[in-house]
Amino acid sequence: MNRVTEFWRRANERQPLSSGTLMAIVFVLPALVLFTVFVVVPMLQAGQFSFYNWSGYGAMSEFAGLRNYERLVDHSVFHRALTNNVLIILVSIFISLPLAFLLAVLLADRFPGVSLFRAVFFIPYILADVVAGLIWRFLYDGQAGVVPEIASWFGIEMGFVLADRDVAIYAVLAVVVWKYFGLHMIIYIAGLQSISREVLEAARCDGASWWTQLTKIIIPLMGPTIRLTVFFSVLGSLQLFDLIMPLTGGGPQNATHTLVTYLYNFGIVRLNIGFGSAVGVAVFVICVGFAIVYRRTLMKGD
Amino acid sequence: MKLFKSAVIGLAGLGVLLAGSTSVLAQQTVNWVHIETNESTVSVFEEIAADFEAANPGTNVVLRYIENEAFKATLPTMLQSNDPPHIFFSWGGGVLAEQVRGGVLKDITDYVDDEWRSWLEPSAMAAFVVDDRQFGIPIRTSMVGIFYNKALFEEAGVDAEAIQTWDDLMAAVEALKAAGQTPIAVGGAEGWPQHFWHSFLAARIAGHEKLNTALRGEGEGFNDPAFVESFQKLADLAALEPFQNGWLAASTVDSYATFGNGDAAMLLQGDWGRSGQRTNSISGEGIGDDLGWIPFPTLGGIGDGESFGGINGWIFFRDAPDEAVTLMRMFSEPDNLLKLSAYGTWLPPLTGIAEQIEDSWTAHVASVIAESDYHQNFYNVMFAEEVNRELLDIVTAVITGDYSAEEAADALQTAWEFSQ
Repeated sequence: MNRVTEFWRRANERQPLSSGTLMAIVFVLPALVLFTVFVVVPMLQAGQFSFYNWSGYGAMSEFAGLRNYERLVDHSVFHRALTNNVLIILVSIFISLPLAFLLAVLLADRFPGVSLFRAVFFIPYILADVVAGLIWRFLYDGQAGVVPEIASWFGIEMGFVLADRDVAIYAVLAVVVWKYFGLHMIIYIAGLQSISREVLEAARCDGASWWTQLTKIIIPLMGPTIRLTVFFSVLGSLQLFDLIMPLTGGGPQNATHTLVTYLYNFGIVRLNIGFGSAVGVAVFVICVGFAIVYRRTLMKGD
Repeated sequence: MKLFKSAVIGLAGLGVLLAGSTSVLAQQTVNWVHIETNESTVSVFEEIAADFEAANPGTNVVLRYIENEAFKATLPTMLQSNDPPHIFFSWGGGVLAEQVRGGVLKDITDYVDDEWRSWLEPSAMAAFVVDDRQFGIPIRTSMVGIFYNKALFEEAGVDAEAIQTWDDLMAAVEALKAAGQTPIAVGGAEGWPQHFWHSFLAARIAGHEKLNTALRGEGEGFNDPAFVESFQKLADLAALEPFQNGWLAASTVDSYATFGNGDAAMLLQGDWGRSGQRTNSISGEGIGDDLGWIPFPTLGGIGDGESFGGINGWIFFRDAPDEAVTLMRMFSEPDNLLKLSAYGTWLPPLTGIAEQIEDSWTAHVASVIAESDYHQNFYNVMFAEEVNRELLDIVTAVITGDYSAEEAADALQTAWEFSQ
């Protein structure tokens, strides 16, 4: 008998289930410890802080009960932040993703210059969020910015969009679409390339139109990919922070806060760690709630 | 045998010597965190640290820069770490009181003898007193005033020196508007620059006594007619639409640029605005010789004789070594503070020094503070951080017309009560 097969036979014999579990624990332990120390413990602590009125200096002694949560529920800026987040999610799902899908369909096939197009559309995603935010702050500037300048060619007087609290959020939304559609496009291209060519060729032989191929074959086969990108864009939208801070900082007059910039401004900046923790707990519950429900229902089969 | 004996004695002697020298050279590290961005100022800091190390062998001063906003947000965490800063920056006021309540600061009352007290401005020293105990050393004062563009004023036919009262200022704003100019540049996105307009009004109308009364929770608090009037005057100014286009999204630096490029006639800022308008302008020269400065107009209130600006200082971590306090005693010596003021961006809180300041403009501003009845610290700084930011939002809402003067005063009172 060949030595190698003998080795594997023995190895399999020597491995009852219990030792496998033990090995698994040994391998998982370092990650588990790190995860506990840096994720689970801070999360539990935030839960604890949220019941106190605490500035972060000295001992945490002033128990506030549910007062931080009551303030949160009553706070108009929190409502605004929540509304903004819903807007960002809607725009991501109904504008970013369809745009990404359309471009992916166009760019999934190989043709001269395709890499260049893919790169151009993907570049915004590669940029650091802070850099992108700063760039757009300059682009939107009413005096020297490129965007109002271009708008003026078409006779549109844009003025200072980031200073107008009714309009600023739409300016932010445009940047969000620009920044993140490239990622979804790349994911879609990967998904499209995994669709077997034979299926599409067979359909074409049977006389299926481009539209029929798209709606009856491509989109159904892309189901798992689409559901995954929706999942990513909802969670990404809920956590949006780095892009907003340099772009508007949540202003003007708190009109463009997201949940996380709200947390930062009203919790950390105002040295109100207890209140900030309550916001953190709320954001956590929203994210985890969404993730669980979504995975249990729409992503069940994926 | 003799040789062996002497060798033993020699070794023992060497051992004693070594032990002695290590105790002398025992490293004492002093962690010093600052937020200063001006290079020439930082070089003076470094010079002082080096002098101190030379005078105190075995002491190692570690100077570390943290950006202003980041410093405020991370300080509570830094103070809980294993390597906390021993000396750090403070604006006095509400946050200082909070830090004292939290028990994170060193009480330095016993270190401050009469000699040390003798050269520092008493009102500046008082800014670092909480419950009759001294917690910090003032090192810098600042003065808020109106920078103006002489050329633009002349064009609009406005005489800056004639602006004495609030009505004069309102008339000047109207004249500048009529001449097609932007009367005032302000960094609205950050809130504190427009808060200067309100707070100087409040300081003039209400005076420091009324502010302190409100901060003690006595009387009508911020619902006092004096505070309502201060918000009303701000609303009156805002009604003239004096600020540059897009001011709500403009950072402070943007406002320096607007003024420094000659695109706005006035800038209400601290004395640092003089260099700010220069360094942030396109030419790098600012408006040069066209730069003028006048004090804030009077309002016929009880605070007309007061000045308004900041009082900054060094405060110390609870477990800071004695060397930290000694180092700051050296820092606050007149020679060192005058060295800092020589660059024209630093007003030292020293008694009777206006004539010793080399830079004539700085000397002039120092004399304005010296002649005033009281030097009021920034209003927002007087509150805990939470109320501070709330005040900035309230002031902005008054300018945009979302709050009436009464609503603003009431919102401030509510925010203050909530923080108690």
